[in-house]
Parts: sequence; structure tokens; C-alpha cells
Amino acid sequence: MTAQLNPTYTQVKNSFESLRELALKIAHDDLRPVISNKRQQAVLKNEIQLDTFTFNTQRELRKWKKTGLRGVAWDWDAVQKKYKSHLKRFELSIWYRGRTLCAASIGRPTWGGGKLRLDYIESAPMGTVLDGLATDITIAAGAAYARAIGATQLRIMNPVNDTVKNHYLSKQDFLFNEKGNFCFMDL
Amino acid sequence: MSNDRPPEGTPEFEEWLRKEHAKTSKKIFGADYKPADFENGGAIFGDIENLDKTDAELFSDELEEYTPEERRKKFKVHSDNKKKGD
Repeated sequence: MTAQLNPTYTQVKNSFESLRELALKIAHDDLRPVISNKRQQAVLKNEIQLDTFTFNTQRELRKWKKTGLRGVAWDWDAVQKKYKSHLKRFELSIWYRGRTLCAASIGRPTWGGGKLRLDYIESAPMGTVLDGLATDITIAAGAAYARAIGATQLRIMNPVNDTVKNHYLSKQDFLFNEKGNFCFMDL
Repeated sequence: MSNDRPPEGTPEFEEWLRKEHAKTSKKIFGADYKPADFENGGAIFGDIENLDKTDAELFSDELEEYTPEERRKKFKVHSDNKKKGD
């Protein structure tokens, strides 16, 4: 009988990195070849890239801050610092033609592991060609990662206003938890 | 969710995940899909006030989200080990 060794920190870290990358790849592959944004402009799937948080993401997020257009929002550096220790975290940056950061999101599984929280979702404050699509692409990528880690529910935490909340409440597969202030979808 | 989840890191796992995700993707980007009107640039979901909160604080009704330590704090342990004759 051989003893079962616990995985090392690095093995666990690498395992979740692989799951994140696989989830983003699958979420991207499953996008329509052509999709219309809120201005009815056609966007090709191949012009959209999904990535984790890279050095370029951090650099672009700092540029968002400098625009002065974000209004009341969070400090992405502080958020990233907080989530870095969560090996199972979800992170996503959505790019257009590899140059324009259109949206960023971060989240993590709940303590019990059965639900994935998408805690922060923000689209580029100056607007991009992916306006109208960024949140749904994020939710799709989050759902893929949630399944990958064995979660059975996706929670999108703290809609910034009633318009956002009601948009998802109008969809058949989303519900809203008033007490916790999150939209959720069972997977 | 299906119970036939293959081991992670295998081609079967990727195939399974693709199949499972296709169902969700259809729900999000179905035939009647419309882009969100509310996206005008800026924050969409999130609250910086919650950055340091635990799951037990965020989901106080859900016992499974409490760490063992949080459970001990929340629920007093009742003991029957009182001395007889007390």
C-alpha cells in the first residue's frame, strides 16, 4: 500500500492555472463567429481574446484610472493584491485585437467551494467595440471556470445599479438574491 | 451538473467541459441574444466595501460557507456533562 501524498503548493497553483486557461479557451471557442455589439456593429470572434491578468492587463488598468472617467470604482491594484493569495481565483481580461483592454473581472470560489463568485466586473471607461458584450462574455467564461472547478452555481456579486440587476433578472436562467445582493445562475 | 466528470488534465475532461459549457453558452448567447444596453464603460458588478469580507459575512444564511472557526464562534456548544445533582 502506498501513501497518498498531499499535492504541493506549486502543484495546486499550476493545476488551477491550467483550469483557468482551459476554461477561457473553451469559453472563447464557444463564442459565435460573429457577434453584434450594442451599436449593432459586427465583431469577429477572432478579434476577441480572453486572457488571465497579465502584466499588460495591469498596465492598461492603471491607464483606466488615469482617464478620470471611472467614477466611483475600486483600485484594481488593491483588488489583485487581495486575490493573488487565492489559488482558485477566477481572473479574466477581455481584449479586442490584442491591443484594447475591453473589460476585466476577478472572483473566487466560496469557502465551501460549491459556488463561484464573480466579485468585480468593469468595462473600459472610455467605451470599446465590445460594449454590450463584455459582461456576458465574462459570465460565460466564469461559468466555464465554475464547471471546471466543480462549482454548481455562478454568483455575480453586487450589481452597480438596478438597470444591471433588472437586465439579468429579465433572463430566464438568472435569479437575484436580495440579502446577498447578487445575481446567480445554477449550472 | 453531470456526475460523469473525468479526471482533470485528461482529454476526456476537456471534452466533458466543452459539452457542459455548451449548454451554459446556449443559455447566455441563445438565438434571441441581445447585447446589454447598460454597458457604457465603467463598473458593472462589484463593491469595494466587500473586499475584506468573508463568505460567512457575505452569505450568513449558508452554513457551508463558514470556516470551522467561524462556526464555533457562531454556534455555542451545549454540553450535557453537567455534574449530577447540580
